[in-house]
Amino acid sequence: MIFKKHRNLGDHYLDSALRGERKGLEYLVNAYRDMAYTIAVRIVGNHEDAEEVVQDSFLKAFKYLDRFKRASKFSTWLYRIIYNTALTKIGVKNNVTLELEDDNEYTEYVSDEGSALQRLANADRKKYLGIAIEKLKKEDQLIITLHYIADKSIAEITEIMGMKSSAIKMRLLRSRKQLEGELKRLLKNEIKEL
Amino acid sequence: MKPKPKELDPLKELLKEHGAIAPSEGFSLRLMNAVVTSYKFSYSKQYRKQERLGKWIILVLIACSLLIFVELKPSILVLEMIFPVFSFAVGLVILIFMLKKIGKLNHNSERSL
Repeated sequence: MIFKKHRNLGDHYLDSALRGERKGLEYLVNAYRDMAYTIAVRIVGNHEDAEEVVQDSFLKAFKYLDRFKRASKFSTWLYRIIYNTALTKIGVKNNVTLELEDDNEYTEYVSDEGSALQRLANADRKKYLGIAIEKLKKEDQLIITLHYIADKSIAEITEIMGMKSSAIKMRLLRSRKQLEGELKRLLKNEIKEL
Repeated sequence: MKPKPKELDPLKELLKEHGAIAPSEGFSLRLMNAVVTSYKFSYSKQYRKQERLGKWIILVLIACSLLIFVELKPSILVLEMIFPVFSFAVGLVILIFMLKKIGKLNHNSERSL
């Protein structure tokens, strides 16, 4: 309706997509494609399968776009579809079990984080970051990606992954420490090579 | 009082800047093409709100028609007046029924895919 105010640009293009307008469809694909691909790669582990997952997920999402009730953000809904499709692809059931591990080995890396990360900023950032992230467990990679890159809250990550918020928080803290430790280790090796 | 600015998290900044993996341009184009060409638009769903408004308009028109009919004093019944009005109402009902059926058929065909 012409007098309806849109809360934000996303809502505007979502309504446009629902009306079948190309600009709406294009906006939604362009806005969420990269993050959707990142999530898929983190779960399936390779680019070919990730492309398949992303394409299937987007087609599924747009097929059932009229069923999206807007109780959550469109991105949260879409990323949940990506997550489930990716898990189906790798043949994993939706019940993710939490493995408790002793994370004391990572506490030693907490103190010098600031300067080490600053040095990394001068190095080949993307390459080392990718290597460090790959060292994490798949679920932890995804949680880090959703929280820090996609700016998802704990509640939204809970909705996407179907895990408890306490588990998400714990994994986030643990994987962050692990990631920092891994980056420091990689950086030390890099300096040695120089 | 100004709100305290959040301390920058270097890891978060690093992840935001370099953590995302962009797909190839070829895949991006294929994805866009697939989404745009496969999107099946349902007219019955688009016009759902306008459909409701349309029904109200039709009811108002029918009410006005009946009012005119009453004003013409039903005791002086003219067959030429009743028959076209009645035919118009029946035609409208049939049209609405057909549109609904087409809408349902489209919906079912989407589901089966």
